[in-house]
Amino acid sequence: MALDQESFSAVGTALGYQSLACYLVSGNSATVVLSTKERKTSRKSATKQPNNSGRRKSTTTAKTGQNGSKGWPEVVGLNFNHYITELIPSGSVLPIGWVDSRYFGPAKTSWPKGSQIYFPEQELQHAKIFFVGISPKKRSFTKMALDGSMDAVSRRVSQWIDSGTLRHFVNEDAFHEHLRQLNLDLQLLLDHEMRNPLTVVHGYANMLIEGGISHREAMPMYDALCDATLRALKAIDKLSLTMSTEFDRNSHMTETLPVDIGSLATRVYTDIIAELKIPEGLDVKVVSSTDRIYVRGIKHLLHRAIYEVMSNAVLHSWAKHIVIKPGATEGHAFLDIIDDGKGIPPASHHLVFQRFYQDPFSQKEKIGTRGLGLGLYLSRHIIEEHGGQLLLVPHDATHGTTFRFIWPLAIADSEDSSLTFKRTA
Amino acid sequence: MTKNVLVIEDEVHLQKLISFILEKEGHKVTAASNGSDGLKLLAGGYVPDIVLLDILMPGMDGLTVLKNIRADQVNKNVPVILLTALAQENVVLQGIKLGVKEYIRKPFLPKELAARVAKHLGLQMKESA
Repeated sequence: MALDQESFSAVGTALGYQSLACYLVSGNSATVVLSTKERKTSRKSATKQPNNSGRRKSTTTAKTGQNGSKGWPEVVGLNFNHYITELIPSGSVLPIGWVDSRYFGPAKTSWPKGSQIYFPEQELQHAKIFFVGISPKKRSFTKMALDGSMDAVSRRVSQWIDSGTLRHFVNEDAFHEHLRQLNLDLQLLLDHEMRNPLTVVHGYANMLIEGGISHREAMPMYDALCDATLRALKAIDKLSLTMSTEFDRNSHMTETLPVDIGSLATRVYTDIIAELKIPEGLDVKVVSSTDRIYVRGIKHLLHRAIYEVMSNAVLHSWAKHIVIKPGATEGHAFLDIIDDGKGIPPASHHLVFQRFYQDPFSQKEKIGTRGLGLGLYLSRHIIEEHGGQLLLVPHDATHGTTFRFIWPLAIADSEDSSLTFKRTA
Repeated sequence: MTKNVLVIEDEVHLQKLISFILEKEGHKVTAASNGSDGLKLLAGGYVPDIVLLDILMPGMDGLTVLKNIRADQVNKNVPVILLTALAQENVVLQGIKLGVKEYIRKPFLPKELAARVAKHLGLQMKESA
């Protein structure tokens, strides 16, 4: 069913939003979905009329589509990193231009608020909804196109709500409070995850220097020194990767290759066995797929994203069985990581992908394994940069957890190394 | 004279470091990995001469543990030293209001930790003499 303005407005209203000025908060970015407007046939003939609040608003005339229906709704969004300090009010005109010349035209480097965004006609014929990413710091853009049927939009937005990705900041204070809390969380975790291991290093090193420690006493100290140093380095590594993906979104996405997710999942599990202490009695099964399933991406980043989720399941789920299942359906590749562990309380579902969130009960009786609370956040961020999604799938059972990676399927022998994900169907 | 020291700290290597330091001084150290387990020990009849308490722990944080200790009729006056990576003023003030003897900021020198524990054990001994 074609998406028209009324339908999309109905979707927004049905989901409890009075207007479409809402924020999709995904990890460290916020996407503002603004109100729809019909697109005009000619850019030059666009006229501007003041709206009720006195702001100028572009009005466009409808374009007749091939089937005779009224033209495309122009549903646009702005994706800001978490350093945004001002809200864009509903009804504002949007910054003009684009950075990806393959799609839109020459890049622009400054986007004063109040300028107008525009999409070429041919692009709108291929995708009905655009989310355009803007980083105020670097003025770079990302783009994610969604399937445009109303059912698909409703499903996608419902998923975002269920997983906690979609939040509606009702006023600027709430948004700033959110940012403030993120900063506090970072301070707390840095203090704990970096300072504690370094305190261990400092203390034991001091005792060894002072002397009077027997060889037998010293051996566990050397182990502790290595462990603590490694832990601090891992914390730095994770934070560094988080920050670099935040501020430099597109720099590592210029070279993408087809990646077989079945093989990659097996490789990730092999690495986990080699690097981590697997709980006794845990049975892990990696389901083999009869066909190779390709997605396009940066292999080491995809490895990292899957590693974080899989290692969480292995170390923290209290599961007896874990199934890792790759597959493909309807033009998408997926990878499920399913465990029969204690599960995640529904009240926490919207929190798990937040930075620095940690399940307060996951470390019970597993002392000394507290992490940064960045793994799931990082994984989701990486997957979204690859045009995919990472979801926490609700379980019917009272326990157990399924994390699902979803990507557009890629053609393995494609020579195009762009970020476009070509559907196989 | 052997003193009983309760260490409530979620970082296992830090637990071991603190235990090693204080056992070298002749104290008997009992460790708990979270606030809940620490309070269970106290509720089970364990009476420490001093408590070393981490602030930032999963589940129950150190200040909440401290409030519970102060509400415990048997252990309400036990000296408590807070181990902290935080320098936030509000945490310090809350601790002072709850009768914390002092803060030891991480990282600490082993001799510093041993000396401060000895000082507060000595203070206690003087009061009971």
